[in-house]
Amino acid sequence: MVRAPSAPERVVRSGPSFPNLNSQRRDACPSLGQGLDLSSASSGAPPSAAATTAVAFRSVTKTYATSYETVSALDSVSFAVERGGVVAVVGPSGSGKTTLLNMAAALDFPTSGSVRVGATETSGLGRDALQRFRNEVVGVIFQQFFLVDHLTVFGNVMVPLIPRDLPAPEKEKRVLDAIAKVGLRGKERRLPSELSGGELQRVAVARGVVGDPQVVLADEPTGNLDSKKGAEIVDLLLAESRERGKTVLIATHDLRILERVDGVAFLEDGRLSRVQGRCVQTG
Amino acid sequence: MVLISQVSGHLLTQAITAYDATAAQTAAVRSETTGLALSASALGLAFSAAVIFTVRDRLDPELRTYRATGLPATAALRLILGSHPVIPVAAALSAGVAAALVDAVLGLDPLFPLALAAAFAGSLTLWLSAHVLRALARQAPDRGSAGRVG
Repeated sequence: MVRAPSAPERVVRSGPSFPNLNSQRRDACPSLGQGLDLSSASSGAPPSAAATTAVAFRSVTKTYATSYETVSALDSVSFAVERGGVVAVVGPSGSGKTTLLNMAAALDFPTSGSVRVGATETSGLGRDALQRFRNEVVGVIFQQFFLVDHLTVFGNVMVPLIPRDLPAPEKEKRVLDAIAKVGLRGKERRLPSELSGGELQRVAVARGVVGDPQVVLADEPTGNLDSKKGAEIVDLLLAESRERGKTVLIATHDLRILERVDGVAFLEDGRLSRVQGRCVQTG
Repeated sequence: MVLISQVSGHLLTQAITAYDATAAQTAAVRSETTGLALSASALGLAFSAAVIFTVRDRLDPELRTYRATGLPATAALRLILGSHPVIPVAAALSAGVAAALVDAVLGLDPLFPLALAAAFAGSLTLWLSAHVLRALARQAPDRGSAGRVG
């Protein structure tokens, strides 16, 4: 079932509050009306709330059929994330966080409902458009890093740029810039087996952002790291939002992250229990 | 092993010819060694299946990355063929060429080892292509994460 985009939805601030939610980011969701417009039209008119929405989940339900039973991973989840915001999706293991991020990355699709990233509904994409969407619109960072073990740091970060129609020197410059940004300058020729866990995740972050995606999706990015290295990874993700206006969606059960994000969506047993903070709306 | 079978058959044939073996005896030796070479080929194909089985598990995380980054199948296949699966392919081709050279020097049939090496390399490459295409075109989550809903 596919629903048309609805009217602007209210920002929910009710429900139990999370006291340490990042209150310093008064500039959150700063890029309203800029950046993420996957449609070709640009009227110059003031942006509507729909136009300022980076990711929208509408009545998203996902069930998996196994040999023995049907598992419900998500049940009528509806919320939207505004452009430029850093929003955490929080919940215990099995609550549907990874499934939700897979939907936003167009790596999985709803059984019913719809997922929109910008103006693009992921279920409606053909094969080529799907590849382009995954390559240009979203950047995914996995908890397990998923670096290619036979490629160097440089090679791993280069992967998203391979299909891009750019001159080789431009690609190389972007890769080197991304590697430098995550603090791995000088380690370009190393293999993943020669890096620490924190460095591996930094490479994964560099690979996730090197293609200049509008939306960065991070699935438990600090899950395999100690607190210091985890905080450094969160710093990198926040910088993507603050310095480059990217929308960042982080699936996590690390409550320390919540102190630093703009908004939080809470999942329980595949249902959205509440949202809190800026940049996240429910409907 | 194919080469060993061929060469040992060749040497044995030469040896018994020196002792005035009959044409029937020589033909019998050649038939036996051809059977041995065929058995070696079967072992080679079993080795090929084992390589495919091993490579499949190593490939899945890599393919997950390529799928998530929107890499086209051709580019993904090029990266994969330039990496670990090409090692057994290259080894098989090298062994085939070496065996064929020895065969040529000894006046034996070089097509046997070459055909076996080509069959091995071809089957592995074909299987890789099909696996990459299927993995990148998949609509559902990648293998290993389908049941993970956390």
